[in-house]
Amino acid sequence: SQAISKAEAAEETWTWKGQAFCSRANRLYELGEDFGEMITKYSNGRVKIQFHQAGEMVPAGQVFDATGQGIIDFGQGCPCLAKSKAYAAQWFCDAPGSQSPIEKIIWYYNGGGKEILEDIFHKKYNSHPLFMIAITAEIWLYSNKKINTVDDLKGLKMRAAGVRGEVLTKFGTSVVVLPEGEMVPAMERKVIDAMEYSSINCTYPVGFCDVTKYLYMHPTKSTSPINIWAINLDKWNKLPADIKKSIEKASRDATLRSLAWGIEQDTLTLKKAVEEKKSEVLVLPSDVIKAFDEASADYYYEKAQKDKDLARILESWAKFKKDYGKYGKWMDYFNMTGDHIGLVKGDS
Amino acid sequence: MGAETYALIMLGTIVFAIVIGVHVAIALSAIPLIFGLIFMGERVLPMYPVQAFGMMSNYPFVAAPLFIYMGALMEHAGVAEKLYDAFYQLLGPVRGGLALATIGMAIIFGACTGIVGAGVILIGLLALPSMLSRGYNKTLATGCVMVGGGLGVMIPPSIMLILYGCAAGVSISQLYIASAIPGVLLGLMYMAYVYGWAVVDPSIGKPIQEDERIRGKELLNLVTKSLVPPVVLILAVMGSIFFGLVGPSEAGAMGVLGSLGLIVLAGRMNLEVLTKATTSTLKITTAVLMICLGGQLFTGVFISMGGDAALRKIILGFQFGQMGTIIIMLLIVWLLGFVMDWIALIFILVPIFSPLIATLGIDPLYFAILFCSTLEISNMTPPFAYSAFYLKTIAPEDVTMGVLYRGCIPFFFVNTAMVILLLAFPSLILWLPSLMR
Amino acid sequence: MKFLDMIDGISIWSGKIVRWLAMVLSLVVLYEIIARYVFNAPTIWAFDLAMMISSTMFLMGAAFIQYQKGHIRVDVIFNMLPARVRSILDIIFFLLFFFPFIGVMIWWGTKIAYGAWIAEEISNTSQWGEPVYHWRFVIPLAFLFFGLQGVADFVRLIQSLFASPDKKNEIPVSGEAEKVA
Ligand code: NA
Ligand code: NA
Repeated sequence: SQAISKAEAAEETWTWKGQAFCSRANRLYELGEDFGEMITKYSNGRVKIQFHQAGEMVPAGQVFDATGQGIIDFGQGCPCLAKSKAYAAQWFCDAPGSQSPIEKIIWYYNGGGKEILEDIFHKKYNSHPLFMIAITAEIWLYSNKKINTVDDLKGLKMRAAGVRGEVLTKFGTSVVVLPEGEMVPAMERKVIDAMEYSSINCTYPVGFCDVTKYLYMHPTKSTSPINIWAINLDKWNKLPADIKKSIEKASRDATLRSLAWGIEQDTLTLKKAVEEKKSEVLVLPSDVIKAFDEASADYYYEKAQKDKDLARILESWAKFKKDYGKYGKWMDYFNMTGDHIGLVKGDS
Repeated sequence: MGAETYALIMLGTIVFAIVIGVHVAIALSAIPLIFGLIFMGERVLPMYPVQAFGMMSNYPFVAAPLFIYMGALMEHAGVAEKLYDAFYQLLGPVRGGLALATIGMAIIFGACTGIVGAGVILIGLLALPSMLSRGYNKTLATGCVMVGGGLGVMIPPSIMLILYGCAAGVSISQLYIASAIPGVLLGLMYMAYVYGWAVVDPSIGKPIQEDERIRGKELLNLVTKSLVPPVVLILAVMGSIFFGLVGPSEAGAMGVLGSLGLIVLAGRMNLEVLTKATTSTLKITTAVLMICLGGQLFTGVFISMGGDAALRKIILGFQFGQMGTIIIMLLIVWLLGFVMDWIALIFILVPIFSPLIATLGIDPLYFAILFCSTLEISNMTPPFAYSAFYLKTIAPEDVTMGVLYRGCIPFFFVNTAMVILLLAFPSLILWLPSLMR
Repeated sequence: MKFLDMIDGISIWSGKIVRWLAMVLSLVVLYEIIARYVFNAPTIWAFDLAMMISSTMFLMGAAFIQYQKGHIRVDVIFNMLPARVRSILDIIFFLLFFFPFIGVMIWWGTKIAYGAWIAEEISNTSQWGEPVYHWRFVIPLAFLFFGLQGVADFVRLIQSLFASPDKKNEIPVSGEAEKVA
């Protein structure tokens, strides 16, 4: 009879119902669908996924909470949504000056990031996080005013949210929180001078480049959010080890795939923005970068005094920089594209 | 049978419960609770407060109390009275003139307020006595009061558009801009119909007497005076939205400020007026938003049980194509509108329709206005016709429910013609918003 | 009955207080408009505060509206029924729908609000990052008041069902919905 029960266990399947924090129209939803298919495939069809868009089963902002309560089996979202109960989770998402997307992935899997995020989500949200989208670096600023010095940030009417918004207020920027749908009209009617939101492949289709002249880049440390699936911890713990392992593998593959896809799309979109919308791509002046990165660091360390998890993240970042910083530049050098996409005769 | 089949049974149960008289908010909240417990298990229990909190932290809902407040204050600002006086003089001398005046003032007043009840009652108190005392055809007189009040939710600002925006995640500002032309056009179509009727059968309404009329400077003075307050208010609310200066809820607050200003100017500001307006604001806001909450709870359970997918499969299974599916959806709205509350209909149908619209590539803004134009008809289709209920509360004894229902019928055809017109000419809806982009 | 009058009193007073939130809400939103356009200094709190005020208003208003019989119902068919049948139906609706729903909102609303309190939950949408756990307690509190008024109405329904015909007029009967919106 033991043989039968073993065979039964091998046959056991799970169907998870979950929801994204965004609507179907959003590219992040599509990447979530892809991840769901990968989980089913990697687990040999034993874990099936029913995926819904924001608001269908629970409100968009409550996906992690609802997962912890067991209302849904999993929820997809930016870790910054978890700030309600885990303030430090925002630093996995959108923390200017910290890490480029690829650095974030390296840190996550090799520098201790995964353990910290799992710890936070196990403790505060009764769920297990699976990293599944690394979003490409954001355009640092969509602006209709030139930013030549730090003083230009002062009085700038800008839509910004999250940690970046908080740091910007230190420079006297007049920060407004506007929902996605209201940003483009506000920019067009000059209610705001500048805005930050997301990678260019996401913002271009909704008209950001129609109303913006300058696209400001931060050459090394543009901020890049991530998306996770939080799985209800009780459900996660009940899974056999082999299934867990296959899902973790799907998570890692989905993350890397999403980043490569995003860089491809960003490149194609940037070409369109410059050629069709006459956007001007500019690099943030180095003294602005320096001042902003310093202000960010000050702000983070100040906040870390009251938040143990954040202190742990910053400590881990510092150790990562110490351990891997000097090798990172070789990989950068090695993988650098510069302006050499392709080769034509006469190139040296 | 799978859970999704029971989800459809649940939908039917809710419609039945509402029709037999269970409070709308309670039917929408409690029936899914029972079905959820059976087919989803205990997880439905925490879902309830989590859904409620989600609605509490959904910013667009803030627009609802503000526009309701604006409307409640507007009742006391004397705008409607002055407008009616002006239109009375302008259109009174024409055949069927007082009916035309009623609709004419309703078009402008509709742009100042956004709730059905206040409009019907206010317009009814002003226009009904003057029409009935002149021997106007009763069905015509009551009909124009009811549809005139109904214009309040077709012409922006409008609680109907706010709730649609909240349910569908469509920008309320865009809905306001998109509904401006259809709303005013509907009013003009009402007027054209009334005038046509009066030409064919002059006995339905006689022009006002010569000695009642004023002319020249005096008339100009009256018209200007009556138009200034609404124009200022329309500019403050709709203008600031059109030029992208404020979002819809902020525009609502501008409207509140404007209404308060008009009350002061009319010399009517006192604690009693304020208390009355705030009390009715609380009543309307609570009654409406409790139904919205029920709608959210219903949606969460219905979709968790797979009902949306099942229903989509059925509707798409017919393969009617884009236009055919739009017509089917509008027919569902229209049919349920006879027996159901329109607020509940928004929250029941929009989550089911929205993915269909996306699948078929229909412009959500275009569909929104079609949906709301069709929903507006429900206000005057018996047996459950809000407009008639409101008017009954202030109408003379001999104006029976039967008279009111009959009064609705011709306008019902005008409204239906309007929906067909919008189906045939989408630019009536989409042209104005395209200027904003 | 004194107990029922007390419940009415709670509902009336909660309504008398929360109705003024409409005014407070308008002031908060207007302040934000002025701060943004006149002083170029938008607030970080108006957005969330507006949501808190408006949601508190409509939830806490539920008991008052129940007292006023203002919750919307489609009563065309219902009103055609004899008074006694209406009362019996209303009693069934209370037992089958009203009380279970209210009970879930009170019990689970408290549980979730308590969890948020322990976690010291803050807003995840605003720059303000203000605590929101108190706000979660509005749900169980509002439904407690709402439920209490329901109990009062329910008791009166039962009384009216067993009262002698001459006393009936003294007991308010549910079903006289005031049409709104
Ligand atoms: Na209106
Ligand atoms: Na109807």
